[in-house]
Amino acid sequence: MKKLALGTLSLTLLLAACGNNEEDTELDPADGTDEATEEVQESEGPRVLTDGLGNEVEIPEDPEAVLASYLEDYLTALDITPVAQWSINDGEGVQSYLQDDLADVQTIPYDLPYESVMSVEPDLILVRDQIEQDMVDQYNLIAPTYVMNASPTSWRETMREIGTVLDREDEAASVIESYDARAEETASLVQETAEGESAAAIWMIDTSLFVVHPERSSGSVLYGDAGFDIPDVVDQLSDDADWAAVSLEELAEMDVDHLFLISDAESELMEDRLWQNIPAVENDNVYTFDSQSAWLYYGPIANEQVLEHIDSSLQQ
Amino acid sequence: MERSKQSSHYKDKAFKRSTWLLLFLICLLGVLVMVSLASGYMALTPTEIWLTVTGAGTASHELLLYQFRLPRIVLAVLVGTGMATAGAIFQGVTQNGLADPGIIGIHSGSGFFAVLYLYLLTLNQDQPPVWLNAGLPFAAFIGGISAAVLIYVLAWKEGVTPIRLILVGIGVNAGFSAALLLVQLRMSESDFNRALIWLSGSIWNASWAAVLRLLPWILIFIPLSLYKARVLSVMQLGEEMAVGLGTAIEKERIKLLTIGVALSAASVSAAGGIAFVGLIAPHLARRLVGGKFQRLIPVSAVTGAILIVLSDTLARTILAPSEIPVGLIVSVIGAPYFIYLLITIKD
Amino acid sequence: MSRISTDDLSIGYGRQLIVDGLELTIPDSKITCIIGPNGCGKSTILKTIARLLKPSSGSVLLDGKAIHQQSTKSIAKKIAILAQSPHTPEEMTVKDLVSYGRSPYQKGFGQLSGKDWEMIHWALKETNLLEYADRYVHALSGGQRQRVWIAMALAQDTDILLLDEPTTYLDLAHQLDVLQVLEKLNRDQNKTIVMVLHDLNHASRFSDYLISLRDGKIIKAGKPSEVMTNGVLRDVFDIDAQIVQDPSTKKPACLTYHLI
Repeated sequence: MKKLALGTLSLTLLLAACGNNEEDTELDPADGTDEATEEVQESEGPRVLTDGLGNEVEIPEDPEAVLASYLEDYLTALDITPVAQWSINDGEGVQSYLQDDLADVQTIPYDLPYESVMSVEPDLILVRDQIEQDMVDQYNLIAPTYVMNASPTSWRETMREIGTVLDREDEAASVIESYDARAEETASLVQETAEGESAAAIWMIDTSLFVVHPERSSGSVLYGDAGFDIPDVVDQLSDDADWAAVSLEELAEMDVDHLFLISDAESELMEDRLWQNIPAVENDNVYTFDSQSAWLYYGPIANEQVLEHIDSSLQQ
Repeated sequence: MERSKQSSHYKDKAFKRSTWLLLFLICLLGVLVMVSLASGYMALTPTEIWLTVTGAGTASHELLLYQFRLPRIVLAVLVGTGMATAGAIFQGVTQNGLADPGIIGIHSGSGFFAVLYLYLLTLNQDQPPVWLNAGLPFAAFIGGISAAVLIYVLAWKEGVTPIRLILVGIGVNAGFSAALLLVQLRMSESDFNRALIWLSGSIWNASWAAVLRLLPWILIFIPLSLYKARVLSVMQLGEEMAVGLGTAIEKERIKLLTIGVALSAASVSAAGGIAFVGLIAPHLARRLVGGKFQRLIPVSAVTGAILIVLSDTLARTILAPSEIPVGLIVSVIGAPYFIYLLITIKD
Repeated sequence: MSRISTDDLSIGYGRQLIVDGLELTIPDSKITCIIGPNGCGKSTILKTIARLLKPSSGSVLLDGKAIHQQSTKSIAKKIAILAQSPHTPEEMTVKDLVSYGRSPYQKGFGQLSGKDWEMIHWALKETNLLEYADRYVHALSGGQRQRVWIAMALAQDTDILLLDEPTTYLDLAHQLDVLQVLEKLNRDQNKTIVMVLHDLNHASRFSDYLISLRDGKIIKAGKPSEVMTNGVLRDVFDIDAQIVQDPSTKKPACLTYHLI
């Protein structure tokens, strides 16, 4: 019975898809879908995947305009140029570290207003965070909308899922593979030059300090991939945030050997005696990067850039 | 004969004036709705709108107008109507021109319970129940009632002076806002963003589904408040006179406050805590048609709708494509007005 | 059989009784004034008769039934009240305010019927307010405002009218104006009027029946000629008064008085 229902459902979807195609042709004559491809579609049937909200999402064949706000890293890794890119402050703030690839891609506000989404005419929308079903329903009116299953904090899972959704599973696997190979190089460099030494990534905003979670963002690269030791304090601090607030005293207690500092300006904190006594500072093992760099982000490209930063820091 | 002629002359004058004014305001609202339909990030020419409205437009224009802009505007109208009417009722029952449910904490009580409800029901659950959103107005209603009871207990001592009510209300407001923040801090990042709506007031993610959730509340409680309008009018003469005119004052007070909380809570569950609508709309209406609630309520309802539609149109055009929460725009207009009233109030 | 009376009526705030075991009968179709020193319970009794206050024990009888067991709306069709200082809403026209008198008769959404408008018009005419119908109430003088309240009570179309110090805060001419309107209503419409008054000579001149009170107890009730005597006033107010007959109204008047 259930099978029958499913069969009917997919038939309906199929019919709906055909109807849509016809409409699309009317809508956008430049699209030029010819009879032949339609026949191919009919024989294979559309792929239907279950997304993070439990919705069955029909994924279009070879989507050309993919909107995947805050997932651009993964798309770029698969050589797919998204139709628009995440931005804040009216397009002023973008993911700078990706701009070599995304310089020509138009921006879209981070909260994805319906009209902005409509105006970029996507044919597939990937949503990173769990959002309300209401909103998914609205986005679905524009294009099939797929909410990610993978936790945003796990870039490998995310990469694989995006590979599946975009029908590029093999490419996604090889992205991870070549990343892991690249990470090996850094790991052996760390082993050569800093065997058994600890490191921490600290984000400094004015006089506030934050330390990266050991399994998230650049933390997973620093400890998981490059193989630095995790200072005890970092382990204790990290709860459910990518970056946890840390005091200068706690930082001083870390006894950390290498300090990757994400900061845009000198801070008065650095004058403090506590700061001066941190082993990394004493030994001149502090490496500074600006807050636009890859350290605050997720994804294979961000992580590879972090690896490069680590390499160049150690080779100084 | 002469008497009835003269008396019907009277009736017509007052009735006509307020009816014409109401019609004028509804037309103004209509014009604003048109302007609002036409404005947004995606530009539409009047011709394109006309074609779409008459059914000859393109599919994408139809989608834009009927699925994205229209539900949002309709939601703005409903929320404005609900909040303004709730404001008129609260001002009437407390006989206090400053009693806006958004200022005295009814909104933040509703918002707190709405967020708590979302938090508890989505906690450790992959699939929230399907009735999750439909239950939201009810959760907000319970929150609004709690806030009202709290204010009543803390502020009511044989009636209440305007300033005392406002001070207690602001305290209750701050308390619930703090509690709201506390729950939000325990939420995951994405839920937190969703809950932010209840702090700033926003209708940007409006849909027909959201409209349908709010509509029954408005359809039930707006007529009820019109039905109770004459009781509100009589209450303005003071408790003794109201009883003398046959009002069961304690019962009516509770009924009216329940209606007011229902309207404000349902609106908050759809759009978050937009303050000052319930303050400005009834005040303007009073200026326009006087203090008789039979005329005051319809006029302030339409004024409230105008206010939100106007604010929302600004909210999505000023910084397009980015959007400003509509509550922020209303506050920019409302806060100075509130301060002005605060300065001029007679204690 | 009189329409309003009290039966062993006791009223108090908390444990302290202000009125204890009061037996009172209000004559129909007459003007009755309640007089007495401050704090004697005049207003308290009036408010209890108007069901604004609940008695501690005993009852107020309206048409033979305890008033606190009747619905407040049905009472409002029989008794109209003018409180001592009613709150005048802002931005309210005379006509609008007077129309509130029709509340007890309104149903549903409260659209005023033709009969309602006739009553309002009549009430305005009786109180000489026709030309002020569309003015704002708070822009009127104190005396005019008081007439608006009386007009509202008239629009209520009741046989009984209770007024708590209707002339307080008014200047002499307006006091007289208000009382004459009430007198006319009593004469032309046969309305039973009960009011609390401070001015003894006004009370004497305009009422058919006087009730003098002290400490919640009736000292003397009866015609003005029976109550306005040196002896009663001594017992009620602690004054030594010289009573004369007003040559124009033939009612007793208090000429001069001294403390005892």
